[in-house]
Amino acid sequence: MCSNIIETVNLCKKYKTTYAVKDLNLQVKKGEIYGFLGPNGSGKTTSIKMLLGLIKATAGSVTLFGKQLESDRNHILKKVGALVESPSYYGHLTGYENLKIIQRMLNVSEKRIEEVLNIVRLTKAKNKLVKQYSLGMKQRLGIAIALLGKPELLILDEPTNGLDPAGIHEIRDLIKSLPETDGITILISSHLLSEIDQMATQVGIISEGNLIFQDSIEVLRNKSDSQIRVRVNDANKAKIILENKFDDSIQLDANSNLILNKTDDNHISLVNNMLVDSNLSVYRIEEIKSSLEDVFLNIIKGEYS
Amino acid sequence: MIKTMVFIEFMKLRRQWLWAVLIIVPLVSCLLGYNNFFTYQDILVQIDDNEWIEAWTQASLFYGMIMLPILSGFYCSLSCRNENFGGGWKQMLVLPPSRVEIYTAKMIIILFLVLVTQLVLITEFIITGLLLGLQDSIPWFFLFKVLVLGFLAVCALVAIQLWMASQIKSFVTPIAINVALTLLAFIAAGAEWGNYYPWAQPTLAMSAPDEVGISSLLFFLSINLVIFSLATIIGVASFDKKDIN
Ligand SMILES: Nc1ncnc2c1ncn2[C@@H]1O[C@H](COP(=O)(O)OP(=O)(O)O)[C@@H](O)[C@H]1O
Ligand SMILES: [Mg+2]
Repeated sequence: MCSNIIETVNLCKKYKTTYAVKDLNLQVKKGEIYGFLGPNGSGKTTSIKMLLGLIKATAGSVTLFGKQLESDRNHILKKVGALVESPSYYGHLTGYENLKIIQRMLNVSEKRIEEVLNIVRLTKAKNKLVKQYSLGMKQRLGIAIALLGKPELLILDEPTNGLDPAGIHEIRDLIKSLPETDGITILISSHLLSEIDQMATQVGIISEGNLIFQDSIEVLRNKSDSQIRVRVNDANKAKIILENKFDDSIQLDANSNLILNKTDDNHISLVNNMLVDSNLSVYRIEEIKSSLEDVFLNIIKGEYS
Repeated sequence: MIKTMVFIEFMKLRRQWLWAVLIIVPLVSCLLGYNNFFTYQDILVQIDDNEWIEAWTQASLFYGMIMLPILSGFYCSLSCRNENFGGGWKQMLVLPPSRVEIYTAKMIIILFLVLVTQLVLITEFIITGLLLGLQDSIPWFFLFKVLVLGFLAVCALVAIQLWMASQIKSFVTPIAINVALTLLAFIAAGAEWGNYYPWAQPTLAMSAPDEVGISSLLFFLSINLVIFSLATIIGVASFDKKDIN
């Protein structure tokens, strides 16, 4: 018996002749914060809409909480909170009235409205019409709506899209504060790894409709390879010396630092000796790790080639 | 659950100036009708005729043939526009209530609005008539009958209009189609096939006895019920299958 909260098997969505999503096999375990990553147009929203039954899959199956959505829709959706794409709202109603509508549909206590307003810090603006809200406020209202039913599974589709850095930070802090409180499972999509980097425990990367990576974020981190950067007083001279010796081309970065791809200790020590013996001044030798963002981009690029 | 859903639909209609539409559209129909009535009073009112009924033939001409079909279409479009505009569909449809319940609640609220419009029309018709000094006795039974028959007749039309409004994302397109089909009712109302034409059915159902109206009431209502049922079934089924993009 597996404890997957979300599980899809060969899920596909075809529009005309092209697949927006192809053979998607998502597995999200209980208590996980699953970062669903992919560039714009890679199929994140399409996948999420299929999970929630907003669009019909061309092929494949979706299981939430171990059950098929069609067979137990009412029961399953009561435990799910979702924000799909841009936030949904009735602009001619106040924030409170918007929440009231959802509260009635979920049949939860009215007190819960004040609670979620407080969580997303919209209490002061609750009697304003939503069409007068800023994008960030609408986004927070969307999260409040998703939280209203005390969901066991929270699905957030690019909740920070279109926000300024301060807004992004705020939403991120908000999401990070959630799981400790009720042990919920979260699936959050983004086109930027940096946005979910600090909160995700599990990562799925989708590119052109295909899931090309799915594992813990540590595994992703370990994929980041390192290089050695060496700063000397005459980089060009050093480059010629090293290239002659090791018969290997050496790059210079924008600041005229030498970049070495071989990083084992013996090699570095050898390089250092050579440079010193050639009367060059070695200012510093340091390891640079490629960022997680680079790893992410490389994985996607690998798929394109 | 349906009760809750209807209540929610009611909440969504706030601040949309609906009360103004509800008061003004029937009033305009009455005023146009009475204007016609007083202009052609000599021709319209013959010995033994009740002036109220003759005035009604004029008011119902504007209301039944033009205003009501356009208004019911507007209610459908408004109700769906509230969802299309801010992404309400995708929010509602990831919550427990089923699509069938959501569709049904919309249908109920729209039919309720139409019924209220009918009541307002009759009330305004009587008040304006009294103010304009109509003397004959008010034909209460007749007015009640056209109110109910008009409402029953417009149900089929609403079923078609809601189906259209729920499938077409644009607010204007269904309204434009609706206006065009309403204009066709001018021809239909005079012909035998008008009995089968949903845009002509309200005006036929609401016409006075001495006009060309319905050939057989039972037959008329049966046709109406068939159209209502078919359009509702197709409407619900296609909404249930629809991809929410
Ligand atoms: N209704 C639709 N009709 C045709 N193509 C669509 C439709 N919706 C999405 N697509 C296509 O499917 C692909 C994936 O889109 P989407 O899931 O929105 O990507 P993401 O959310 O990752 O940015 C895109 O190429 C998009 O153009
Ligand atoms: Mg998207």
